[in-house]
Amino acid sequence: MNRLHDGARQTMAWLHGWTGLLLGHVLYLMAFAGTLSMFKPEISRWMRPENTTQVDPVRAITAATDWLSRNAADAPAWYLTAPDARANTIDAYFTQGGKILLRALDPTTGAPVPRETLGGEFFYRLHFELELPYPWGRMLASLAAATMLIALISGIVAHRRFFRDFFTFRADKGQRSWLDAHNVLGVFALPFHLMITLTGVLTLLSLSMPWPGIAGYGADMPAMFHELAPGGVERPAAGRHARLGAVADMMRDAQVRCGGAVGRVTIVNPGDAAAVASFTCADAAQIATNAGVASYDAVSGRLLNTWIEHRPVITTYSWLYGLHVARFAPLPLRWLYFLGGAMLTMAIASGLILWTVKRRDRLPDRANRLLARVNAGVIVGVPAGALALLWANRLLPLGGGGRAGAEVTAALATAGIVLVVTTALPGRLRWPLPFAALAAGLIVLPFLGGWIGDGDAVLLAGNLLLLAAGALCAWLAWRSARC
Amino acid sequence: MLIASAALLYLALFALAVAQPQHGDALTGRRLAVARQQQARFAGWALLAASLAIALTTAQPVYATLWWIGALPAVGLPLVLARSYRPEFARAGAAAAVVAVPFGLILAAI
Repeated sequence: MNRLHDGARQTMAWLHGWTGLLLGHVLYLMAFAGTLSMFKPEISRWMRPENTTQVDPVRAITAATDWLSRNAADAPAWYLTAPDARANTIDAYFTQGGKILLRALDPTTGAPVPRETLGGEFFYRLHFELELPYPWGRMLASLAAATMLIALISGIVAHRRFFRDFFTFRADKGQRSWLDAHNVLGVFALPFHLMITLTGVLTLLSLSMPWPGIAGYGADMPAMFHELAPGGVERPAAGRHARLGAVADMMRDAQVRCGGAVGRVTIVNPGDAAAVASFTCADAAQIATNAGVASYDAVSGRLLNTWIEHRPVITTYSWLYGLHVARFAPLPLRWLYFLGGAMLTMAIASGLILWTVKRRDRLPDRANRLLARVNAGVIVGVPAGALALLWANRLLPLGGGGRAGAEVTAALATAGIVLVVTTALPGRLRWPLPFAALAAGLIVLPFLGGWIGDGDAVLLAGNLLLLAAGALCAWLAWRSARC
Repeated sequence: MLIASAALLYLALFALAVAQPQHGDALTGRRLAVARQQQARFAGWALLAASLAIALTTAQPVYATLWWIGALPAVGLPLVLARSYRPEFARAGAAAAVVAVPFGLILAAI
């Protein structure tokens, strides 16, 4: 019986190792970006330091629609996210000159803010789109999440001394230290890791397992999406020009119907006599993300439809989705999510290192040596890319088109360069040098552009965290130089 | 209440660590008798349950459970690092947690 158990454990250990290795680098990137996404609005605020004013959401949306009426009247639709206690700009998707744009609009003037940037949205999108074209990025992220779930379950089964290893960390013991670190990081946050991975798999389920939808709706996907979200009103454009009605009145009425704040505003066919304005209730006060919708004739302001989701299956799904994205979480809980995510990122990194360290003496082949180099390149390259995005945010000149794209290019190019350079570095310098460079970059960053605090708590907290991360990287550089 | 729950969680993990010979030696500075180890193990599980129960009385069950599973690494990681590098810090943490439990309960009551 024991031999049978040992055999099963070995098989699971093999599965845990290989599933972790095959998509480990992708998982590391996803965990890193997902962890930062916990503070998406706050990162956006740090990246737009000029905008510190907090404006009433109704006033802000009115200003935004006024500006869009003058500058993007031809767009088929405007998708706006209302500012709240965390975000102080309006995120707006609209088309202009045939291009789909995402712009942060100033809540006072309604015009795009001068420091054009994706802000925290970059990390949020990177988490599940991996900077790859649709649907490939999401497909890969979905596959990686499923692999992660297998790695977690096989890791639990493979772990022989679960409770004894709970408190075991033997420092300066080579392979044993890496194993202990991997175990401690993985085991303490295991309930969180299981929850975030399972809900993460579910968020992309319609893409990775499209067959139930196809079986029910065939090629008529719009019908499926309409039944999924029947709250909106769809009607064709009338072809006659008409001015937008009183958006503020509609929004106030929607606030009353929501029993609280409005989160998103969608205006379809703006400038047309048949324009529709839909107001989606904010979902920050509940776990489930399926809030109610109130739709109005955007010209007359007449209420067309209201919808509150009560269907059990949809509610269950959106509850699980809400658990993953944690928009409901108050600040302390968001920090605990951040810690759990950071521990997952470090568990993946330590697992990747452990794979090569275990085989360093037993199988000193070329593939293992190359993997050890690539591991170092990816583990340092990903945060280096994130750091480059923040540097570009501070250094690129304001105004002009393509600034947000240039930031992203800087991030991806830096990550690529650091990956290649770190991979090529000799063993003694492979960890200390990139960590020292990261530390220097993080410590200097808060002083770039002179936006240290300026009375904004979010800006100040962000800068202090950058300094703390810089100190951590400096310590890691020093530690790795001693090894 | 959450302060009391977090403090109990730390005490629970400290007791569970003490119940294991290799950690108990480092954390207490002496070898505990087997009976003491068993008492520490029982106390650890009881405190763990008490910590979760207090969290559940503070907020809705889902929020409380999420908070609790999030607090587990937040409390446990410093304990593991202290046990490895500076066991006296882990002991000081336990003493502070003993004070924090009634403090948290009183704070919640007023």
